Amino acid sequence: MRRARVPWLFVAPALLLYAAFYLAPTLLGAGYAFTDWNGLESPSFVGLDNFSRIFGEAEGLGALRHTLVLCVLYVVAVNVVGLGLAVGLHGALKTRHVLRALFFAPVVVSPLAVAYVWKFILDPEGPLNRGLEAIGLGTLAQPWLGKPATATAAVLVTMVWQFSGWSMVIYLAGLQSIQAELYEAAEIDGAGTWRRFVDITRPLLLPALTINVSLSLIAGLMVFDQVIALTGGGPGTATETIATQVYEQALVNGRFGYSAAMALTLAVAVGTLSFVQMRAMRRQEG
Amino acid sequence: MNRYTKLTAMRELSFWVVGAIVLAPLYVLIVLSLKTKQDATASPFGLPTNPTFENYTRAWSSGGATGVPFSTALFNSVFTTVVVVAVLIALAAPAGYAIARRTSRLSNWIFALFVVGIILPMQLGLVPLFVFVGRLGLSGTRLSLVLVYVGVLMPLAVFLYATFFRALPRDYEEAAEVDGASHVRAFVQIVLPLMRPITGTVAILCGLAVWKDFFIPLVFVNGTDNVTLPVAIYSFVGQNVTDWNLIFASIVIAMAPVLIVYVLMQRYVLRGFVTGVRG
Repeated sequence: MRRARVPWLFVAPALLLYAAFYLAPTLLGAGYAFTDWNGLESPSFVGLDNFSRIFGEAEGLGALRHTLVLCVLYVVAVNVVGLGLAVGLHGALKTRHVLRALFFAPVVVSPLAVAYVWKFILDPEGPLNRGLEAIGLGTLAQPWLGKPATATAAVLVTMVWQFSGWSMVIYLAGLQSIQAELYEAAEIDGAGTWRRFVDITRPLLLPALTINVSLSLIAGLMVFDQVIALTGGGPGTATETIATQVYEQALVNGRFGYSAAMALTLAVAVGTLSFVQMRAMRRQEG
Repeated sequence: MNRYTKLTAMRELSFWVVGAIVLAPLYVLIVLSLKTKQDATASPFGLPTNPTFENYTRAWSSGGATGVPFSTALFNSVFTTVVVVAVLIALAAPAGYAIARRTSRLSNWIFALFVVGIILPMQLGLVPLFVFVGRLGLSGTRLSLVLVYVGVLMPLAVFLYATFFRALPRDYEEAAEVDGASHVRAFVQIVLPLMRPITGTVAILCGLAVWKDFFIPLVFVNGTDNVTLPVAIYSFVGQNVTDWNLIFASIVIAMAPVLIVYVLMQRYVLRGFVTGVRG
């Protein structure tokens, strides 16, 4: 018996809203990247002008560089911490469930709100400096958000503090999918802890690693809230990122074309990484 | 293999030290929000000698010179989140169902079209969307916020439902259809009750995405009475730069609802985040 098929009408409303309020504007945005549109006059085509400005002038180049640095540091840090927490909390600890829930808790709250709490902690008169003075390390006290290197570190720490729990949960799911019999068999065959980690845990944890790396890469490339709250892009322009520039150039300076070009650069980076990741995952699944 | 030894106890202890580091900012946040400004300058770390809810009442009823009160912002956040999640579930479930049950090439293309939307950063469509919303006469409205969120989160919701239905055997629906039920009836009576777990995942992931988001309301409703909590906090900080007690009370108002829900439904939230990324 040939059954009647589910009508396309089921898809229509979802597709319509998605197309109107996301897909079409996004495609248009990609088009505006090649214009000098300022929102008032009608846009005219300027070829790759916006891109040569992004890659040729200090402002654009700086935002790209800061984003890249922050992104690489974030990927490494959040994965190291996340994996460490997961390995530690996979197994015998009595309070592991409470600890897992605790480490994941920051993930559910607003990144902007979290960043403001850290801004207070790092304030020249704030708890961190006061604490350092109290334990006799007053010489280390400094205006953390007032210097480029420490301001970047502050954004990084805020992100890692909030999102390591998410990375942990993904690694934990990966660890839990590994059957205990594998370890027992290896133990009988005389494999030590290190051997078991290298030959069993590492290859079977690869899918979790791939997911985690790509999620953190994308999050790192799109960082916005933390920068706005902690530094406002400063000191000077030392922590401006691609996402803060997309916003400021469009809604503060009215340079819609330039902003769109910046966003397209971001989209190409994110799209390429996601594509590479999907290919890698498919290969792993064989 | 998993014996509880002295070493395990040591490990347990060291993880609680890490836990304390995670909790420290939350401690600072709550303690400061319960102090007066004088009390805070005198002893920033200690427990409040004389806890006060004055900061809360001030944040709750006034948002500063131009800001909105946090009671309004809280309502806006709850309203936007609930409406967006409801619309997403109502539209994405049937869409995902149809995509999963039709196996034509067109169906694969439509699925791919949605998947593209998960990957694309929202920023790229920012300006055209801003202009489009203005042309529709919806600038600064709650409706504009809802429509933008529905558009942006639809791909994720459809993807989750489609993947779920692809793995769900067709037997029950086919039996119902043999008995003469229409597609709509088979969907409502047979499929709807089966999709509770994935609906939970969609609601958690999309609901949190809306609740936490700062960028979209900053662009679309900043400066109006329709701002959600993150934008309200942002303007509030702008006006009360050094009044951290007041700012922290407002942040606690913003965090409390979602943390309470998290504590109550912690298992589902963790599971949702794992299924969400695995697809």
